[in-house]
Amino acid sequence: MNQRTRPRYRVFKWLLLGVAFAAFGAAADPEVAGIIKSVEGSVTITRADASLPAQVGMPVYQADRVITGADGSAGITFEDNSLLSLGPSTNLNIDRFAFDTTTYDGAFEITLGKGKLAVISGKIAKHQQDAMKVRTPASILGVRGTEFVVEVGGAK
Amino acid sequence: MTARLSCALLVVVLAGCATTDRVILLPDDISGKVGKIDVVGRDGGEVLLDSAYGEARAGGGKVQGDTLDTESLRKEFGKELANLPQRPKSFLLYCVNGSDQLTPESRDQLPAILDEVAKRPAPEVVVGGIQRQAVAGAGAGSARPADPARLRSGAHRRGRARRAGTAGAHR
Repeated sequence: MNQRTRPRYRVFKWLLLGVAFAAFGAAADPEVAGIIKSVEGSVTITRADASLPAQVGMPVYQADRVITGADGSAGITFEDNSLLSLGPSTNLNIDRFAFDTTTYDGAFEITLGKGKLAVISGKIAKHQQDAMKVRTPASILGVRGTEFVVEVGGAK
Repeated sequence: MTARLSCALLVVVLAGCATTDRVILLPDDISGKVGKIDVVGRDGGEVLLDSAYGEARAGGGKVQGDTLDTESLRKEFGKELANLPQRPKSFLLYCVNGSDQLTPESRDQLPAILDEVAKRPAPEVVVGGIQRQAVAGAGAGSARPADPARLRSGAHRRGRARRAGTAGAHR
């Protein structure tokens, strides 16, 4: 019986916490934007002034920059189920990420400074036109879905 | 001073010309559906991609539309495409009416779910609930169907708990 009541309590606790955050402003909890699912070679995350070696399972947040080395690549799954794959010598900034798991409202804006990126967009782009944007040095992409690749600094 | 400034400007302009940013729209690898991407050049020009393998090249003050053949795509972006994380997988579980017990059919799915969790790197489990009846006790129902006590072990307990708590109205 005890075991059965525990999940109920736990969920209730989190609901209460949610209410508390809503009351005091959401800024208290940095929202996880995504989770790193694969890392190959050298991959670093720049967060504020710190540079962290990326690891599988690590969360990424809005304002993080993900940098892969010449031998590097990384895969990230975002909270709205957007899937991103970074190629070697790539520099990606998570400009903005917000996602409401109930309404699917949100914003997903990233900047590819250089390198290659493959994307399968998720619920944000599907739910709301113009909510997903990818910036490159020469262009701004308004993404309405779903699968695409981007390259910055190509030879052609 | 003026000479130095114009030199700097020249370098910037040349660098600007040298980069071409490319976007290629692909058909969804499962459904085959093709989405849409609006490509707007920072220095002017715009191309709407809405067909499979449609390509836009932005740079030098314009955006050009084109089509890329699948062979070149594999060669140039094959590794990135292969490295995309696995798509999430959903399972529907039902409880016996008026109880917190899974139906036998749903219970039979649990090993497959746990297998899926074990197979994936850095797995995350999101439990969403649909409550068709009672208003009172909302939230409790959302956590019940998937036996959260078992699924929540692992590296992302916090994230899962957070998501389980807010995902009450999923779909």
